[in-house]
Amino acid sequence: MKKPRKPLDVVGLTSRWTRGILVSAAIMTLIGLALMVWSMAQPTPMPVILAMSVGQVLGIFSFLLFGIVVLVDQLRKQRSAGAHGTVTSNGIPEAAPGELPAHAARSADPSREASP
Amino acid sequence: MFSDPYTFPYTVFALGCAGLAAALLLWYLIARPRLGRSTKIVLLLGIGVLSLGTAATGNVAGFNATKTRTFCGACHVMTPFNEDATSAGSTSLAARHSRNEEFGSEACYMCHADYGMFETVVTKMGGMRHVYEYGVHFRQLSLDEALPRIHIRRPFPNSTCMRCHSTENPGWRRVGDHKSLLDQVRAGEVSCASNGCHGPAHPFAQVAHIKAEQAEQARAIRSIENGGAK
Repeated sequence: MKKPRKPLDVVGLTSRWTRGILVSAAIMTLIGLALMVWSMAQPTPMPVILAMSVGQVLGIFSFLLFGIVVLVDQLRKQRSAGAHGTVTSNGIPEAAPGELPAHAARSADPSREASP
Repeated sequence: MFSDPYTFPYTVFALGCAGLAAALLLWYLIARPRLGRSTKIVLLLGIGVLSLGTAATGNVAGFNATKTRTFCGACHVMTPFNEDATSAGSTSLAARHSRNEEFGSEACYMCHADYGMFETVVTKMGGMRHVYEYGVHFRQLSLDEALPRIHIRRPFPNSTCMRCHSTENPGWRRVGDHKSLLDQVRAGEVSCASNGCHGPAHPFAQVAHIKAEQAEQARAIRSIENGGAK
């Protein structure tokens, strides 16, 4: 019998690589900054061209990586919050069958809560 | 780095941002903190805000640097052009314009830039072709080999001269040749930098072209003579 294929867990995968991605982004940013400082210290064709091409690309790519890591971290947090209680689209935990919804339970009258 | 008063504030701001960003990023790399809210803010400053500040101001400083005569003269094939421009004794158009206190340090750019709304960007995009030409064709050549091959891509437009020399000044109009050729000069039919008028801006380059042409002709004649003798 063919086993159903598990969908690729991008969030889980990326959150495992968070540290490595951020270290790479930090190193690339440092290289980009070094190129830009070099172009200002020695404004000759090669440093200026490198700073305005390679330096810019490294900086933009690092910022994108940082943005992805932050986004994935946020999704991961939401997912772990959802694991404790199923979360509906509006962020309110869904009630199990036969139970009051969580927000209704919170706002319910204490006397009713205590009744058998 | 700090000699240009216009670029100075940009350079200082860019260096300040770069220094702070580097310090924050090095702290992250060395301390290896957990990815909490404070670490995210530090990284946002290091990778985002401060680096963008460096890039933005560094670009302005870079674009200004690319306008200078020393930048244009950095490639070895431009050495004679730069030397002529800085020579106190030279009477070439380029040298006389380079002695102008107002724009002398940016004389190459002032005469060779395309003017318009996006002048710097458009000119620098064209300048990338120079980088390509230098890297592919001219880098290995000696000055004597390169000089006859360097030529202006399009005829020098009179409109560039007319940005300063408006052709409206009475003193300018009193000159007989100016008066008689006024319409042709304004229409660009007679070049200000033609041999009969003010001459080429870089006369030594024209001499090199003529010498190269003569050498080519002499080679052709010799080969014909040798062929005839056989």
